[in-house]
Amino acid sequence: MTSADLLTDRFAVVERFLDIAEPHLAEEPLAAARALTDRAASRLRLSGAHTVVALAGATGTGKSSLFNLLAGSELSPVGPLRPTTGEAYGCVWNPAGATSLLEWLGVDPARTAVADVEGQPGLAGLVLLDLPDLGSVAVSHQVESDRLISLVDLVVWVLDPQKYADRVVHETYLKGFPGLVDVTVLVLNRADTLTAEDTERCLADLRRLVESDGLGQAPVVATSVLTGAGVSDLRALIESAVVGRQAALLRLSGELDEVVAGLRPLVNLDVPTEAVSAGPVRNLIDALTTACGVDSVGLALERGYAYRAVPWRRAGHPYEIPMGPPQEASVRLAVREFVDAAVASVPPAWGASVHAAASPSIGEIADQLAGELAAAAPGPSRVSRPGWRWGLVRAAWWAGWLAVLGALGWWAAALATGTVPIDWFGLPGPVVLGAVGLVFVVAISLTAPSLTRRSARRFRARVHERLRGVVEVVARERVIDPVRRVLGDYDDARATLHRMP
Amino acid sequence: MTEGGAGGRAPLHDALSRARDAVAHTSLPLALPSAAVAARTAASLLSQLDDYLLPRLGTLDAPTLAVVGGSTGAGKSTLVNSLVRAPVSPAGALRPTTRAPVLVCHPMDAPWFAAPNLLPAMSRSHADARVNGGTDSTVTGGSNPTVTGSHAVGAHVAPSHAAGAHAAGAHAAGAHAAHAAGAHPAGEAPGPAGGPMLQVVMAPALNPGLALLDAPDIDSVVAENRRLAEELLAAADMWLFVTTAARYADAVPWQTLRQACERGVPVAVVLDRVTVEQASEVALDLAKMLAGRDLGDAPLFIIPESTLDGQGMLVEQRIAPVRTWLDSLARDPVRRAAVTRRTIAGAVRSVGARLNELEVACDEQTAAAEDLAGMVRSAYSRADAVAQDAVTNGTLLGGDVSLAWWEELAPYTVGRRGTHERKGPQASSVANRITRAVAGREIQDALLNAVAVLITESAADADRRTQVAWAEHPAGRVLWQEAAVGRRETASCRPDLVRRAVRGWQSAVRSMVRAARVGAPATPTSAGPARPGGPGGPTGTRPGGAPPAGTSMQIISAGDVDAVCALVTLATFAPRQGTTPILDPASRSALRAVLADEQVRRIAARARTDLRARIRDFLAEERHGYLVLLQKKATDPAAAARLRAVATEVRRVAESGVGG
Repeated sequence: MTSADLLTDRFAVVERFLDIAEPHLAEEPLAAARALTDRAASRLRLSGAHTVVALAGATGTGKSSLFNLLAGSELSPVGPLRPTTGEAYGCVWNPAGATSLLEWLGVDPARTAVADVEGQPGLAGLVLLDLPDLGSVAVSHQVESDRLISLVDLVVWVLDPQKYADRVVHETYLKGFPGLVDVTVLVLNRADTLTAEDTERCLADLRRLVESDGLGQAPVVATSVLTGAGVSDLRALIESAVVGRQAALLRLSGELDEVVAGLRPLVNLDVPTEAVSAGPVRNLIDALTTACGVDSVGLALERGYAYRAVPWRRAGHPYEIPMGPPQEASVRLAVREFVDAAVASVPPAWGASVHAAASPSIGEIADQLAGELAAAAPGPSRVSRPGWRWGLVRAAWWAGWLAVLGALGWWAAALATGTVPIDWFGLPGPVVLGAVGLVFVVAISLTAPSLTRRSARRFRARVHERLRGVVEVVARERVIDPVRRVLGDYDDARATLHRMP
Repeated sequence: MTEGGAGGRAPLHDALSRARDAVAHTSLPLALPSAAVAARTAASLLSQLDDYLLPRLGTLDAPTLAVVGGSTGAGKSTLVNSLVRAPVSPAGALRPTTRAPVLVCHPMDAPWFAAPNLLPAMSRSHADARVNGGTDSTVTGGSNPTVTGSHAVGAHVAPSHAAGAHAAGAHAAGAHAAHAAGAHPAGEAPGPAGGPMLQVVMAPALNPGLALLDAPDIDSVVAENRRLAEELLAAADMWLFVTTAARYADAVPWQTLRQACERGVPVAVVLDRVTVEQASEVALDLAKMLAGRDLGDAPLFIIPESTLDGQGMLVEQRIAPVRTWLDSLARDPVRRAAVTRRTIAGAVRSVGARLNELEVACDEQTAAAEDLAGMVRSAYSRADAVAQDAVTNGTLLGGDVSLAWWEELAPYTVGRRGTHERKGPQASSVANRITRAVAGREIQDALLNAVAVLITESAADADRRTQVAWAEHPAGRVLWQEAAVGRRETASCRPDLVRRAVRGWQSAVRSMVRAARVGAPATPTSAGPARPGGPGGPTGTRPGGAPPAGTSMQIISAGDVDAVCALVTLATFAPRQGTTPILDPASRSALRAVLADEQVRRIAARARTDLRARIRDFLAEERHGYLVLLQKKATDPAAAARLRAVATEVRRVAESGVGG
C-alpha cells in the first residue's frame, strides 16, 4: 500500500467519523477536521507530481529576495519600504499539469513565472510561492498569507536575525502544530549581517526556540541572499522534498494526526455496556409500569376475577377497571434518571445530543402511556366472565344443589305416596342422589376459592404482562431507542477513530 | 508655574487615590468575553496609577524618565549603551536580549530613582557605570567634571540578580552608591523571588534631570517581556521608541504606539538599523505612517546602520542628534516639567477613559449576573408551576396510587351497596379497625411517596432547565462547570431533604386531623350540616339514597386517625373538577361525597396550602444554592457607580487643575 493510499484510507476514516458525529456534536470541535478533510480531498485530487513550497515570514526578512534568487527572476518586487509584498507570487518548475493546482491555490497567473528546469532537474515539479508578509500593519496581507499557508505542502519560514524570536511567528504558526514538523523548514536569512560566530549562536538559539515550539526536528539553515551562503542548503532541502513527492502527503498526514489527536477526547470513554443494557432498561420499564398503575390495575383485576369466579357469587355486575392517569412526576423522573445515566456514560460533548434525543419525550410520554394503556386495559366483559371453565364449575355447583333439592323432593314424594324408593346400590335412591349432590356442592365450595385464587393470579400475570408490554413499546419508541441510537452512533464514531490505520 | 499646578494637584492626587481604590476593589468574576479584556485594563490602570501617576503628582520637578522601548532586535540596548558610553545593558545577537530592565541616570538623580517613587513595586539593584574616559570626555566632561572614578574600569553590569547585587556591593564604597544604599537598604536586598527587578545604574555621561530606562522588547516570544515593557512604558514621562527599517511596519509596535497616542505620552521615534542609501526613503514612509496615526509631531531620529566600535557602541556622530535632543531637554527644567505635565494630563485622561471601560465591564457583569439569576429564577418558577399544578390536577392519584388503595379504603364509605362486601363500616370489630388503620397507612405511604417523587422531579427539572439556560451563556457555561461539586452535594442530600419535607407535611396533616377530631361531635347524628353538595361541592351523579350521611364525621370521631389522614390526603390531591376514576359509580359517588364533606374539604384545603408552601420552600432552598453561587461571583453592585463617580471626579479635577 502506498502512502498515498494509506492517507486516503485514513482520511476516509476521519470522514466517516465526521459523518457519524456531526449530527450529534456542536460545530466547533469538528470544524477543523471537516475543513481538513475537504482540503485533503481537493489536494489529493490535484497534481501529486508537484510540490507547493511557500516562503512565509514577517515583513523585511527577505522572502522576496530569496524567492527571486531561487526562481532566478526578478518577479517579486523587493524594496526598502515595508510591507512590500501584498499578494503572492508564484514560480513553477515544469508547469505541465500545474494549472489546476495553481487555480486551486488562487495564485494570480499574472504573478506566476515559469522557471527554467534546465540545470536543476531536482526541482522539476516545484511550485514556489512568495507569500505576503505576516505581522505587519497591513492586515489583508496576513489574511492572504494565512490562507495560502493552510494550503501549501511545505512552508519555509524566512526569519532574520532581528525577527527570529518574534512572537507572531512562533506563537501563531509554529507552536501547537507539531504535526507539521516534516513540512516545516526554518531559514535564518540575512545571515550576512552577523559575524560567523554570532550566526552560530543565533542558529543555536533559534533551534532552541523551535524545539520549545514542539518542532525540534525541523531543519534550520542560515542563508544570505547577498553572499549566497546557505542558499544551496536550502535548495537541497527543497529539492529533496520535490523529488520525494511526499511533502503534500506528509503535510496532510501531519495535520491529520493533529486533528485526530484533537478528536480523540470526544470519544475517550468506552460506553459502559450497562448504560442502556438490560438492567437500566428494565428499571425504566418497571418504573414506568408502576407509575402508570399497572400493578394496581393487575391487583384489582385479580381480586375481581377471584371474586367472580366463585360459583355462589353474582357474576353479572360489570366491574369497571379504571386505568388512572399515570403519575406524571414519576414518569418524568424515571425517564430523566435513565437519560442522565446514559449522558454520564459518554463524554460531555455528546451529552446534549443524548438529552435532545429523549427530552421531547419527557413531557409527552405520560400522555401517550395513558392513551395506549387505556386502549389496552381489559374491558369489563373480559373480567366479569372469568371463562367457560368457571361456567362449568358454576353449573356443576348449581347442579349439585339441584340434585340435593331433587332428592328431597323425591323423598317427600315417596313419603307422600308411600312408595318405596328405588333401591340404588343397596341404598334408597333419594339418599344416594342427595349424597352425590351434597358431595358436589361441598367439594366445589371447599376447592373453588383456592382454585379461583390461583386462576386469578395467572390472569393477573397475563394482564400485567400485556400492559407492561404496552409500556415497553412506548418506552422503547420514545426513550430507549432514541438514546440507544445516539449511544450507538457514539460507539460507532469511537470504534471508527480507533480503527484509524 | 509649578505652584499654579500644585494647587490643583492635591485634589487630583486624592481623586486618583480614590480611583485606585475603586479599581482595586473591582472584581470581574464572571467569565464574560469582556472580563478578560477589562481585567487587563484594570491591571494596567492599577500599575500606571501605582507606578507612575500617584508618585509623579506633586514631584513635577523630579528627574524625567524616558523609557526606551521597541521591538526585539531594534537596538534599544545598543542605543542606551552608546548614549551613556558604557555597557550598562547587554546587547547581542540573541533575541530577546534584554530581559531585565535597566535604568540609567546621572548619579545626582540616583537617590530619586533608587527610592520607590516610580515603579515602587520593583525592587532595585544598584550599579555604578563609571565611564572609561578617553573619547567620551568631550561629551561627559563638561556636564559632570566631578566624576572621581573616571579612570576606573566601568562596572560590568550583568542583568542577573546575583550579579547586580554583587555589582552593588562592589561599589558600596563609591559615594553615590553608598548614599543610595544607605538611604534605601531595602532596595539593596531583593528577594530571590521578588518579582521583576529594576537595575539602577549611575552614569555620569548623562545629564542630570533625565534618565533612560532600557525596557525589554514588546514582541518576542518571551511573554513576560511584553508585560514588563508595557508596565514600564506606562510609568514613563516620555517614550523613546526604537524601530528599524525591517520593523517599522510591524503590527505589534504600532499597537503600542497607538496606546502612547491615546495616553498622550510624548514620543520620540528612533529609526535604527537603516542603510544610508535607504534612510531617507524609509524615513519618509515612516513619517507618513506616523502622521497618519496622529503622531506627526513626534521627533524622528535616524541612526543609519554602521559598524559598532570596539565596545559594541554606535559611533558618536550617529547618535549625536538624539543626544543633543535629550541633553537640551534635560537641561531645560521648564520643558521637562511641560513634558511631564503633558504625560500626566494624558495619563489622567486615559485613566478616565479606562475607568469608564471598567465601569462598562462592571455593568456587563452585573447585567450578566442578573441574566443568570433570572434564568435560575425562571427555571425554578417553571418547575414550581408544574409541581403546583400537579398537586391538584389529579395525577398524584394516578398510577400506582390509583386503584388498589382506593379499593382498600372504599368499604368505609361504600357500605353494602358496593360490589365488595368484605368489610363494611358496620363490622367494627377490633380486627377490622386494625385492618382499616393499616389500609389508611398504606395508602398514605403510597401518596406520600408520590409527593416525594413530585418534589424530587421538580428539583431535577429545575436543575435541567437551569443547565439548558446557562449553556447558552458564556459565563453560565463556566459557572455550571464550577458548580458541579456543589450540585453533586445537593443531589446527594436531596433524598433526605425530600423525605424531611414530606414527613413534615405528613405530621402537619396529622395534627390538623387531630385538632379536627377534638372539635368534632361525638355522635354521627349531629353531623347533619356537613352534607355533601354544599357550595362548590362536586355535583356528580349520586345514586338516590346512596350518600353516606356523616360518614367522614363518623370516621373522624371513630378514632381512626390514619384512615382519616389518608382520606384527607386523598381529598388534598383530588381534582376539583372532572372525574375521580375509581370503583363502580356507587362507590365513586360515595367517596366523592366524603371528599366533599365540609370538614374534610376544609382540612384538605389547609393541607394543600401547606404542601404547596413546602414545595415552594424546597425549590426555593435549592434555587438559593444557585443564587448564592452567583452572589459569590457577583460584582459589588455599587462598583460601577463608584467607578463612574471617580471617573467623573478625575475628569472634573483634571479639567480644573492640570488641564490649564
